[in-house]
Amino acid sequence: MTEPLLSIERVSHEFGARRALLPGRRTHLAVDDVSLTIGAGESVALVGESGSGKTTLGRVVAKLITPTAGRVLVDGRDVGALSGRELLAYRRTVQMIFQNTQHAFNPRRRIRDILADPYEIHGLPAPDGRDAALGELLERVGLHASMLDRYPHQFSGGQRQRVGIARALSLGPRLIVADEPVSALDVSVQAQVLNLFARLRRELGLSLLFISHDLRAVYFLCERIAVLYQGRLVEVAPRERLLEHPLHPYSRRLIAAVPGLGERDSAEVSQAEAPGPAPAPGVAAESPAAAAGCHYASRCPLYARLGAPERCRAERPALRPAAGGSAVACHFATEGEEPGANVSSVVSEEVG
Amino acid sequence: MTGDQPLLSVRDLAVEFGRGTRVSRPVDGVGFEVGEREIVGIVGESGCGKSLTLLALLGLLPSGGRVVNGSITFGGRDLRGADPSVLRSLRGRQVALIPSDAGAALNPVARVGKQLRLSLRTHHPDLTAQQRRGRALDALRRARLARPEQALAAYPHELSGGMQQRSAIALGLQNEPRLLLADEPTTALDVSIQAEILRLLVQLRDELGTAIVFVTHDISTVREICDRVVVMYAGQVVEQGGVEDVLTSPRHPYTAALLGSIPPLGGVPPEQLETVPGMPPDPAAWPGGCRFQARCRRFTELGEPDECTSTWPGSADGLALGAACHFPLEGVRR
Repeated sequence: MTEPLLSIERVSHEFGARRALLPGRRTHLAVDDVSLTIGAGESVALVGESGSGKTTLGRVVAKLITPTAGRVLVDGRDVGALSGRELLAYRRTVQMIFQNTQHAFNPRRRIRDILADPYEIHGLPAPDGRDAALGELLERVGLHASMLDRYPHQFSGGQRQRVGIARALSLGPRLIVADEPVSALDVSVQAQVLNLFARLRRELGLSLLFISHDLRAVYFLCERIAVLYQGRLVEVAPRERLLEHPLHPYSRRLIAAVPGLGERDSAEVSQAEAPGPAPAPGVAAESPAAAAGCHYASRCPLYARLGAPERCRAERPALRPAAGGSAVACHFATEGEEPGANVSSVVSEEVG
Repeated sequence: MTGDQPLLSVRDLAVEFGRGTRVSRPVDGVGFEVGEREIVGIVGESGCGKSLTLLALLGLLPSGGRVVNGSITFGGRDLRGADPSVLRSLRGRQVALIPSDAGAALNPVARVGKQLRLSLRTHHPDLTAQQRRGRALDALRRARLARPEQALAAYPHELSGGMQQRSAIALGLQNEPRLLLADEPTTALDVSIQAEILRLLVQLRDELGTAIVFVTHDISTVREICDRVVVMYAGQVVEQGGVEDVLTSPRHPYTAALLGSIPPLGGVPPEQLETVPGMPPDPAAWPGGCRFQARCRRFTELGEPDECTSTWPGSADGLALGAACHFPLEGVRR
């Protein structure tokens, strides 16, 4: 395999780490020893519940925050060491799209000025006049060049997200980090924006790090899915593999939670799969830093079924390769015994 | 539904805002019924009038909004013409609202327990402080809060999003209302927590017999919990019926398009998802005929028939089952 476009190598990020020595300060390990690669033209999803660290990891990749440990490589070069001109070049390579389109733009500036910023900052002359370039950008994302003089509030949520995509595209990036870009939108508008992402990927060969808690959107857009739970990667797998043979108990739980349009009994499956009301994230669960073993054990149905094996409490499971290109961080997950089999049969019926 | 009178019956409901030349009618002829113990979903995109319909039922329209037509009957009583004091005595007691953003709906400077007790004191002035505390605790337990005693003493910001939503549900439930109006109760939540809250609503209906009106923009959640579904577009009901019927063989092109825009989970993903081109019409100037016509693929396919632009294909009171369409889809099983 050729060198990946992006490698995340053992990245951790702890909020409040710098002040941790002061008494009474608490730190929060948002991302905990995560490694992941994205190939050129590949689209990878980060999924997980809120507080799983997916946004933090995305911001690390976009170099909006510097991780407290580990490094990020683009084309084999350590991003952390970049500065000045090289850093600007990196910013042209990797761009970010945000979830909340109301807050992602300065409300007092016209779209023309918002879209011109990247060119100004990078000192790039637009090929045939700036206006032509900006108009073309808007048209590429399905808006009209005549909208350049509007203000952000004059657009609908879906249109504003298109402007966000246009801004990210302006410098010809190779990787886009999209943080929940469609979750604030209506279902039918979501479909339009997802289609736009799919088209841009095909036309421009973009790589994508797509952060979402919506497995349906993720399945449509991304070839590989990485599942985060409280800052740690618990499973990375090709999309079909994850859906049909989820290995980690948490992945199974996530898949079972997807509201179904298939048979009603998917509700029963999720009931069987979920071990009673789960502790709310961050409140009841032990902090990952404190847990030496598997941080999912306290919620894990497999752990309960196996009679609370000592190993889950004592030893942190490493991400290990499994069949079909999957990797899973669980001591006991095997493909053999599979409550997930029910889930996948329901899911495939729905497709048929 | 049985032959008995439904718990809630809404007919030909219309809501207007503005005066003079800028009158808009975001809810225009909505009708549906909710039976005892029934869960009815109202689905539609933002701006279709689904939330305003809900607020109109409670007499809680934002300022400037007024019900200009139709009837609202709850438990045999007319709510539209009811005195504000009558509505006040019903709200929270017999009909309760669960808001979409519980974090914003709870009072940030009062402990959860205090907010629960305040509502109890309003509706049950005869209870002692001790009894009120007990009832509040029960309600939190019923909403499946992991540690109800702690939640009682907590301020809303100290709770996670899921726990805030459970507290709001407890607040709605503690007076054991006959009807619960849930306005997008899960949209602010994660998928896994969303699934838990949906399951909780079904459990509560099963245990307490509370009927629920569940408003959402996400048609896939409707399948999880609702018995019947009402699909709204541009202030009107475009299709209603049993959940299985409507979601497995939608008759209205809009319902079909909504379902088609949900990315399929499994198999080889399509190159493009189905979308509805264009934007919904402006409530200040509804077009004549079928309001969906300008975005309807079927209209184009059939060679733009005149009926679609001239006559509204629905029923007068908005109550009819099936699709409000001149040329409904036939037996398309999804």
